[in-house]
This record gives sequence, C-alpha cells and structure tokens, in this order.
Amino acid sequence: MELFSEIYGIYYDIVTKILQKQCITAYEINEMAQKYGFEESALQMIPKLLDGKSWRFLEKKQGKYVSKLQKSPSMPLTTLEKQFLKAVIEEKRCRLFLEEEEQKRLKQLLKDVPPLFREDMFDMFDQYQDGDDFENKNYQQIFRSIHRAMRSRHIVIIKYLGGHRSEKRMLHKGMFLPLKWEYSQKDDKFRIYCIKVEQSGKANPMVLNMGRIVWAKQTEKIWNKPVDMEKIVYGRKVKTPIVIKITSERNAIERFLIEFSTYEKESEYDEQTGVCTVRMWYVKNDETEVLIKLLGFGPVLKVMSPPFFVKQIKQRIDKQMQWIAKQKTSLYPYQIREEKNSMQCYDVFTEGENKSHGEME
Amino acid sequence: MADFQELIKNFNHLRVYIRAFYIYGYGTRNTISQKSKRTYDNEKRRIASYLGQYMKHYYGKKGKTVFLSIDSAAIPQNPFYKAYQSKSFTDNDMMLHFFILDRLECKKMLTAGQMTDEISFAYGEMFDVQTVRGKLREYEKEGILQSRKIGKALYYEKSKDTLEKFFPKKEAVEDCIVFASESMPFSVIGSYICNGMHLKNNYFLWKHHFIAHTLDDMELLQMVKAIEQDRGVELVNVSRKTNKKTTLKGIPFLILVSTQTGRRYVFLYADKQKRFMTLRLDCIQNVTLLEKAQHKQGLQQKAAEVLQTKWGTSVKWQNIPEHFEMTIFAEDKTEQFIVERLKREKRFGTVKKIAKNTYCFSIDTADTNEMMNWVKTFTGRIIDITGKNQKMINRFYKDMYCMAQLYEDG
Repeated sequence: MELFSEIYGIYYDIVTKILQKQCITAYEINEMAQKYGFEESALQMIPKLLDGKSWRFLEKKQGKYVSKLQKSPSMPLTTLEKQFLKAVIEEKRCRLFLEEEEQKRLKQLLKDVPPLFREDMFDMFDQYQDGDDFENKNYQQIFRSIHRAMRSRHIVIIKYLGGHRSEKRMLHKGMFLPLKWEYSQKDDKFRIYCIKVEQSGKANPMVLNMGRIVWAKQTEKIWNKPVDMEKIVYGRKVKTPIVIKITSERNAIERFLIEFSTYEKESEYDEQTGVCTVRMWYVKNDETEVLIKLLGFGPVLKVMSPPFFVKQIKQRIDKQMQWIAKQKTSLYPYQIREEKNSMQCYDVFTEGENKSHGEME
Repeated sequence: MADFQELIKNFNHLRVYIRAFYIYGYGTRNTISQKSKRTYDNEKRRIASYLGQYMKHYYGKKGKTVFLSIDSAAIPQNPFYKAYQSKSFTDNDMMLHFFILDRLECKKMLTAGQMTDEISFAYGEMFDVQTVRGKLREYEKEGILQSRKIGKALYYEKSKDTLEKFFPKKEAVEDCIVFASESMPFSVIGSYICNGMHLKNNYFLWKHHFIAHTLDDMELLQMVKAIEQDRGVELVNVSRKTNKKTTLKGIPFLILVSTQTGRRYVFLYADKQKRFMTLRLDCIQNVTLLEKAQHKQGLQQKAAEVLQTKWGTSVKWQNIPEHFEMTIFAEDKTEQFIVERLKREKRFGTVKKIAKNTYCFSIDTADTNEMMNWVKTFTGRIIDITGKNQKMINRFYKDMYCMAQLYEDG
C-alpha cells in the first residue's frame, strides 16, 4: 500500500478523463491537460499521448482521437482508501456529517476492513479541554439541522449562550442563515459563519460557536439573495501587517515560523545579525490570540509595528512589571539588575531596525 | 533544462524544498540548494508547476528569494496534496494500468498469461508476461484487484468495491469526506477519494490549520503500522541545525501532535540509547519497518509513567516531577474568560480560586521549561510564580525584565 503512488497521480487522472470521452480532438486534450494538470503537464503529456509511441491508447480517425479501450475507465477504491474511510466513520467529528442510516450502511460495507489508524495512537497533548461535546445527542441533532439548512440555504431560528465575561452567560435568540463551518483542531470546536437576519430585514455577518447553541429550528424561509462570502470570511483580515523581528536564540526563528505557518506571512533573514524579519497578516478577531502567542516567546522577538499593537504589548509588560515590583518576597528586581549586563538579547533588534527590506512582488 | 521532468520518484527532496519555501520562506538559491544549484532550479520549477499561484518572490541583499505565501484559513483544500500527485512512472506502467482494468471490466477474470494475450488481441500491444504479472501483483497489493486460485491457475479480477457501490448517493457522504480530507490524519487519502468523486469544499473553513503536516504522512504511515503491529522501525533523523543524518532503531509507541505549535512527533524507545525519546516527524526520513518488537510489552508501563507528567514532548527516564505554581489576577465579575482560559489550557494541572480576583494554577510536571512559553502568555496578570525549578523561575523574571527593556523606547 503506497501513499505516494502514480495511481493517485494527476497524469493518470487526466488520462482517465480523456479516455472517458471515447472520441476527442487534440484541442480538447490540450484543454483538459491545461485545466486539470500542473502548469507544465500539457507540455509533457500531449506528445506522449499523441505521438503513437509512448502512451498508445488513442487512434487517429478522421482528425479525431478515439480511445482503444472498450469500457469507460474507472478504478475501484484502494485498500488505503477503504482503511481511511473506516477510520472516518469511527471518528466522532466526521460522523456528524453522516445520518445514522448512512453510518450503518458504510459500517456494514467496511466490516472486514481494519481502520488505517486508531484515535488512541495520537495524543493531541495541547488541545483545549473545553472542546465541543460531539457525542451529545442534542449537539448532534442541532448540528445536523444547521448543516441541512446550510446546504438548502434555509433560515434557522437559533438560541445560543453569549460570551463568558461575567460568571453568568446570557441567552440570546435570533434568525440566522448558516453559511460555512469553521473547525479548529486546537480549540476542538466548530464555529458557524452566518448572517444574522434582523426583523427589519438588515443582515449582519456573525460567527457563532456551535457548542453554545442550545436550540435550533429550521424555518420555511429560503435566502435567495447573493452573499459575498469573500467579504464575510476574509474581509476582516488586517490591511497592515504586523512586523516582527525574531532572534535565533532558543531556536526562536524556527519555532516562530512553524507556529505561525498558518498565517499569511513574508520573512527575511539577515545573516549578519541573525535576525529574521516577518510581516504577517491576521484576522482582526484573532488579535488577542496573536498578541498572547507573541508574548509567550518572551524577549527573543520584538514587535516593531503597527504602533497600536506595540502599545498593547507594552501595556501588558508594564502591568507585569508592576506585579513583580509588588512582590516583596521575591529575589527581584535585585537579581535582575545583577544579570542586566549579561543580557544581549535586545541588542540585535536595534542593530537591524533601520535596514531597508527588499521590494516585495 | 531539456530533460526536466515535472514528476518525481522520491518525495523527500520535494518535501524538504516545500518546507523551505513555505515554513521558512527566506532562503535563496545559494542558501537552500542542498546538492547543487541545478537541483534547486529543478525543485523550484516543480513547486512552481504544482503550486504556482502561491509562489512569490522578492529581491533582497542576498539575491532573489522565492517563497510560498499561503493563508491556511483562506484555502478550500490543502495545496500540498498536489505534491502527492506527482509520482513518476514508466510508459508501460501507464499503459498496463488502463489496459488491465479495461480487460478485467470486459472479461471479469484472467490469469497473467491470459491477460498478456488479451492485451495483445484487444489493443495490439505486446508485453512480457512477467511484466504483466508484476503489475497484477502490485495492483492486488493496492487492493484494486483480487486474486483467486482455480486449480493450479491464479486468476485476477477487479475489486467490486467501486465508488458507486460505496457512495450511491453522493450528497449523503460528500461533506463527511470533504471534512475528513482536511481534518483527519492522512487527510491526503481523503483528497484522493474527493478527486475520484469530483467533490469540492463548499462548506468548510479551517482555523489553526497546519497544512505542512501532510508532507510527513509517508513517515507517519510507517509509524502507525509499527505501532499497530508492535514492530520496531529504522529511520534516519536529520538534525535541523547541522543537517547531520543519524540512523536510529526504535519502537514507536505514540504520535504526539501539537495543535498549537504545528509540530508532530513520534514517541519511541530507542534501542541503542536505551531510553524514550521524541523525534519530530518533519526531521525523519526513510522509515523502514523491522521485526516484531518482543520487548515492547515490557516497556508499556514505563512508557505510560514517562508520558503521565509530560507537559509537551520532553520526556525523562527518571520521572521526578517538578512542582510549579502560578498565581493569576482575574477580576471575578468581568474577567471570567481568563479563568475559563486557564481551565481549558491547564492540561493535567489544577486551577483553584484562592482569594478575591486571584486564581492559582499548580502542576507537577517532568519539565518546567517546556511550560514557560505558555506561562508567559499570561504576561500582565502573573502575580507570582513559584516552583522547584528555580532556574526556570529566574529565567522568567529575567525575560520579563528583558522585555521591559526591549519595549522601553518603543
């Protein structure tokens, strides 16, 4: 069982599509290779398909190419695919998208197939502990009714619990058009990108936590106005990137670049100073998350801009220094002063500050 | 570049280059090229061919820097799956694939000899019977064909497990498969099924989505097989810092996944070193399965003991937990979200209210150092920290002082 195999490859896939046509022109072959292939696939595939020497599937008849195959090509599921499917139907999050009947049917079909992996082979050691209760019957029922409404574009009445600023959560009710699910493995939660439909007819984009929805009922109303998904989902990304300088101490550059690899970013490394400069774009809603993650790195990085972001960092550090100053029993700040001379970590940031960056294209 | 090939035989080079362009994104032709400049040019051209829409470049002091700019929250499908569709093959591989499946669709059951004749009659193509037999065996291993012995002859037939049989109503399963094709381990296999069924992602967005994980799935597959079958593995571990390759033998027990930092590890017992260790999957190459590890059972209890007190991936054979406490300020009336955060992120620690607006997190962990990044995310609220590992506590205060200096003048 090979994961990296030509049978799943793009060339086999394109040839399948071409041979499914039975009779096809050279122009259409070229078009299909362009559409479904990699950038240079057409260049590499077409001579092999049409030269009559390499991939001898096609015969030229009256200016067109006819497949030599007698049946339309298709490939059965591989063992790897079936084992993956078995793992899928045993997985609680994936099962949310399958009705009970469908789960039973697939279970029966895969009864002799071992799953590709078991959940207990993986330890997601830093996954948050307040993830959604995927196996709760009420959660499943609400989830599926919202998913059905999402597919059919029906408006749903939803009752949900508000945020947790105070000790008590408030119950809210409203009409929503669910648009997309967002899943986070770190939070182990589903969120719903939706439009809140007001009585006045006004529609506001919103994100709801699935786990906080306590009740949902689909209405008869279908939303048939266009929805600008791009604006709702990605419109909230900051226009000005956050600029961060990272030193190579404590393997910070690598740790940072992997940890923030999910964000759109550009990086530049200065070999002389050993400092990496990163420009990173984030969604406005995630600002606090980004801020605390950056604080977690400590003094091995410095946020250079935008000023409002730097200000927030400074405020938190100032507050922290106040807490430290209050600690009468602590060794600090006495010992800190002692160690001041041995601290070089911030020097490198100032050295590189006025250097210009290359032009981004 | 006359003989440039878009497809590849070995995934490892591509894996290294994609990571260099995507994760690091600052390397130039001079700094990245592992073997030669020509290799760099070829790999770059391939990646441009697969992932051209995400490829950007800029001119810096060291020359042209090429990188992949991808916001994983804004993509319908992991673009790195494309790399898995780039396996090279011979002309015979390609022709036998379609001819064999076509013949078995028409004739239902054939021996290797009959198949060779059938291909010759039906398409006028001559193949060596050994070549055909090899391909039939290979496809049986992949599960596309099944074999049956009748008398002395071995017959091959096409597997009946078609997409149509499994998914007669596409709409009943499509969202499940699309979701699995991004969220599950080995999700690239889900993407193969999506390709076969022509499924598109219409309803999903991803957050904290570490797409580069997929590049290590071949190594992961070997590890999972070894765990399942209680077998040992031999692997090559490549040091990120020195690029030094070390061959190592061990028994894998568990895959550790960090959902926050984007790293995955294998937790294994290293035979020669006689200790448990965690190795990053992205630094591992060429994993081969060894014989059944007879002594795995005897190590299970020790493994559980070692894993019990780890905060992240740092494990110690002599498991002497270090006590640690952090006192946090959170306004009772308005900042319950901080208390909630502590509770959901505490792992096996405990959180207690100890006074008005004051909460205490405490834990006994194998390595305090591993936890300190998380501790610093509470900067601004930490009333006090105490613990057995004084070195780490000193470092915390030093870090805070250093940060205060760092931002002192803007």
